[in-house]
This record gives sequence, structure tokens and C-alpha cells, in this order.
Amino acid sequence: MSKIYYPKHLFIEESVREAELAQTVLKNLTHLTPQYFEGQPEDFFSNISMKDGKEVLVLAEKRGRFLKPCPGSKDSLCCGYFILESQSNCNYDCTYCILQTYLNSPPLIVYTNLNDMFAELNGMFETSDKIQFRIGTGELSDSLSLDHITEFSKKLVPFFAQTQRACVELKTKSTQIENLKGLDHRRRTIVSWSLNTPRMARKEELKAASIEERLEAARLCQEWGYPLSFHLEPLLYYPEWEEDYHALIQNLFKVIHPESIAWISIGGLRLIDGLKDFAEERFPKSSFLYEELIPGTDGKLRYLKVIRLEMYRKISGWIRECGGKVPMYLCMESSDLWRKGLGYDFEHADKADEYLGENVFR
Amino acid sequence: MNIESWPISKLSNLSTPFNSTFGDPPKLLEDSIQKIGVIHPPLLLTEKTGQPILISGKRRIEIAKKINPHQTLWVKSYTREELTNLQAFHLNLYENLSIRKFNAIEKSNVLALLTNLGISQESLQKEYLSLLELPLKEETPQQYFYLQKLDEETKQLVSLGILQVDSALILLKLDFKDRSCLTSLIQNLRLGVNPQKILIRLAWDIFKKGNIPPHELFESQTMKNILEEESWSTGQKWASIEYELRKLRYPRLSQMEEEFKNIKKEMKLPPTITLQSPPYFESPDYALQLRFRNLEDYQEKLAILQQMGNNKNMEKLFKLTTEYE
Repeated sequence: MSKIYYPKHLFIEESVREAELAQTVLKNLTHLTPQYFEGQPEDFFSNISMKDGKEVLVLAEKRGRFLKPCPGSKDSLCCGYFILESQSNCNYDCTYCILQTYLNSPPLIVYTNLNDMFAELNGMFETSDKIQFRIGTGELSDSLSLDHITEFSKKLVPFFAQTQRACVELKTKSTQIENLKGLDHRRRTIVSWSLNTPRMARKEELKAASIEERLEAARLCQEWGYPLSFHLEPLLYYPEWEEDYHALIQNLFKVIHPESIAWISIGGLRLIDGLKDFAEERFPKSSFLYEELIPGTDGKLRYLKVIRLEMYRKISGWIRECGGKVPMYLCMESSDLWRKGLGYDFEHADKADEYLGENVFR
Repeated sequence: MNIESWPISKLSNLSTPFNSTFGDPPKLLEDSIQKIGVIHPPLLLTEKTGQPILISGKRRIEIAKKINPHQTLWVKSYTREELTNLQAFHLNLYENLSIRKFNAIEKSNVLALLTNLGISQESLQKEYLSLLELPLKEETPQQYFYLQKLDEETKQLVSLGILQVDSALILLKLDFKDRSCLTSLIQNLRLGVNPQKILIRLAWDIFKKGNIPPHELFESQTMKNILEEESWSTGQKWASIEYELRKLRYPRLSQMEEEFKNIKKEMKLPPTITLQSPPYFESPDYALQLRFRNLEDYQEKLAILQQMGNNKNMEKLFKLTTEYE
């Protein structure tokens, strides 16, 4: 049974002391005495370690934009996804996590100026000529693992329920779904789980919920009528990968109906510059770092292309066998690999975006 | 502070708590003392108990003693009231830094001594890293502390610059037997900075991946044959060792490279036409380079390229980047 996360320290930026979200957090963390600070959290907490940072929750004002297009990767076919930066960093300790070296600041930061965020979203929806927006909060953080503290979903789900051409994806490795029950979501919130094989989840996704727990939480959200999505990322290559991933996909479709699924992403392990050394130092028992990882055209380390191709073909084949026409995509891979690995590709990101939105918007 | 004359036999027995030197003294120092004696007097600190300790000058005293064990030396003598330990250490540090560069082990010793003297990590970062010409990174002090754990033999290699610090840090994760095996190879094959990094990285990854410790790796017949081949230069031996290590570390990639080499061989291209595989077989694009000297030559080469299109080996080539079975 995975443990529910509670931070050991709470820091609040002076200027957001009265914010509604800050009050909610204080209500849910009555055992902590908050400490108030002035200035930007990135400067204030830059000297603490990654490990210690996970014990610290910071409430702060977001400066700059909340919404950004997913940066994708050089030479890859993008899917037109948008990232909503409502939080930064994650309480879990996945050995392969890019955030270990990507973020400047180790603590978990929750941004409290939600009115600014919603105003920015509305402005974008009103002025953009894009047909649809697929937006997610799970790129720089886990979308739901702090939801029992922030109750953020209670604000976000109703907001997106009102929109005509936007949906939000809440991507998690947690089971923190209680707040989603009973919300009027109008199928504009996609609840999403990152999945890996139970063997790899136990070994590499430290502190996260087990795969069984994640699937049970997904089943409940299915019952509550939410569209679901799954991310088979990062695929890890190890001797038993074939039987393990095959079993994972079979188990997924035993619990989840294909019609409930908005999309499934597949993506091989990617390591940005410096992450291999960093992860090796922090997690000396991890063995995934020693497979055939080679630098790609974007400088990230990936499995050799033939290995990725083999994994993509087999895994997408098993998904087709069990899940029929459920939309699939490859994350941060070239058109060439989409074509050879999935059997199709798209001319550009908008087309991929439309295809992936089919189960949500139509 | 007093100037005092001390018998060298007494000086050489004093404890040296602030000493960070490592390695043999520079020849120039020996020659200089041989010729005109000790110019800069050693520094002494007398504790409240009356016990003297040596602040700096250990090497000068050792050299002078070798030359004449019965001589006396002038020293500058401080009392405990005049100097704290940190001030005494600073005297040692700045005296040395003003005349020579420290090796990596000495830098490690300095950081360790400063920590023992109560200097915070923050101060190490802010005040001492640049002084020691070390990278201004958060992890630098920790990395250099780790060097303290090296055995004397490996420290010697690091101090001489034969072994790089980051390579030594990986070696520290191995046991003594494996470490010795790799450091011997580095010395015997006279490997430079990059080859030694490659050797240690590959050996470490193979160990982690397949649980084959380096000493076992280099006991294999293949490796023994390479190392014992008398007709090969050290460069040739290293090239063969690297090739064998890469085969173990990247078996699929090595296999593909081998296949590509064989296909190319079968194509029998003239030396003026070069075919290159995509880096790591990641992109689907192969590259072809053509050299020609006149129109006739150009047309001849084009004809060869035309024929290449019908060659069955071309199919094999394209399968290489798409097949996995």
C-alpha cells in the first residue's frame, strides 16, 4: 500500500499568504507551522539537496506564463500538447526522472495565483485559432499526488468542464483520486496514469503507488465517467521486458474498457545530459542505466533504435490486440519511428493532435 | 613572532597538522637547497603546553637534513596567543600557493583540512574553490573529499596527473583488486586522458551490467592475447581492447557496425567512394561521398553508383536500420 505524502516543512511566500489555495493547504496541514519568505523560491531554496527538497512544500506566486507548448524534441513528431505549469517538482523518487537534473529548485512548489492561471487559459482559448487544446499538468510534477493537500482538482475540473475545445490531462502515479469523485467533469478531464511493469515500478518508481493500486484507481475513475489515458513511459529494456509488458497490457484491459481510453502514449527511456551520472550516484542499485543507451540527434540518451523499434512494434501490437482502435502515439520520436513502430504517422503536430483528441472532443 | 635557530634533528621530528603536500618535492627545490641552503625559514607554532608544531617547511627540512643532518636552521616561531589553527593553516596554504600549483590530492587534502578546522561547505564553495582553481560547482568539495579514500598508489597516479580525478572517482567504487588491474593497464598502455576515461567507464558499465569485475574481464583469453601480443604497439593494443570492451558494453550496436563493415566490404567500392552509416544507426540516412577529378572520372563514378542501386547488398544495408530480429 503506497503511503500518502505529507511534507515535513511548509514555506509560504509572503505575498500569497492570503491566497485561497494557501488557506486550503494550511487547513490540510494543520500539523505544520508555516514559515514565510520573500523573493523567488528558485533563489531561496537552491542550496538544498534533491532528497531534502522532497520534504519541503513551497507555496508561491507564479511569475511568467502558466501555459507552454510541450517543447518536444529535435527531429520528433510532436502531438501538439500543452503544458500547464501549476506545480513544479514531484514527491516521488523515480530513478529515471528527468526532473532530478532539469529543475533549478529542489522543493515542491505549488503556485497559488490560480486566477491568473485561469485568466491566461481563457485568453488563450478566446484568441487562438487552434481547433482544440490538449493540456496537461503532469510534465513538471505529478498532477494528483498533492491533491489531498491542495484540492487543486476541485478548481481545475470544473473550469475545464465549461470549455468547449479544451481538455486537461491529470497525469499521476498516485491513487489520490478522492477529490475527483462527484465532480461535474463533462468528460473534459482525462485522468491519466503512468504505467510500467510491476517489476520495474517496484525497483525504479520509488514511493509511487503500485501498478495494482494505480489500475484500481483508474477503474474507479472509469466508473465515475472520466476519460482515461495511460503512458507506457519510460519503457525499460531488460531481459524479461517482453513477458512483463505483455502481461501489463493484458491486465490493463482486464480492468479498463478500450472505450474509456482517450489515448495511450508509448516512449522509450530518455536521459538528458548529466542525468545518467546523477542517477547513478543517487541510485547505485539501478541497472537500467547500463543497457545500450546511445546519444540521439537531440543529445538525449536513448536505447539503440532497433531496440526501441522492437519494443514499439510489439507493445503497440499487444495494445491493438486487446484495445482495438484506441489512439496511440509515440512520445519524442521521429515520423520514421512512428511509421515503422506504430504503422502510421502524421504530416504535422496538428494532425496528430486531432487524432488524439478524437475520443474526447467528438 | 620570534626568529629562532633550531637543530634540524629536532625540527624533523615535529608534528605537521597543517601539511597538505603530497608527492615528491620538486627537483628545483632540492637543487636550490643543495646550492644555497634554506632561503625561506620554516614556520613554527608553540602550544600553550610548550609543545611546538610545524606550520610549514616540512619538505625544506627533509631536504636540508639529507644534505647535512647536523646543521641548524633559522625558523619563524609563533605562539598560540598569536595564531589560531585556521590562521596557522592559512600561513601554510598561502605560502605554498604563492610559489607552486597544487596537485589534485593536495587540493583534496586542503579541503579536508579546512573542513576539520570547521569551515562550512558554503565557505569552501565561496572562498576556497577558486583559490585552488577548482570548478565552482556544488559537488566539487564532495568529489575531492572522496579522493581521500584512495589507496596511496592510486593517489600517486592522480597527483602526477596520470589518472584524472573523474576517472579516479569511478575507480573508488571498485575494490582494490579491480582498481589495481585498471591502473596497471593505464600505466602499461600509457593511456591519455580520454582513453583512460573510456576504459574506466566501459569497464565500470560492464561490471554493473553483467556483474563481471574488471580483473576477471582482463583475465579472459581474448584480453590476455591482446596484452601479450609482442608485435603490437601500445596504441594497437588499446584499440583492440576498446573494441572488445565495446562489444560487451554495446553488443547490438557492435554487431550492427560489424555487419555494416561486412556489407561495405562486399560492395567493393573504390576508395574514392565512401559510404558512411548514420551515427549509432539512429537516423535512417546513410551518407555517400564521392571524389572525382574530371568529367570522365565523374561519369565513371556515377556508373558505379548506378550499379550500386541494383546491388543486393543495398537491401541488406537498409534492413540494418529497420530490422530487429
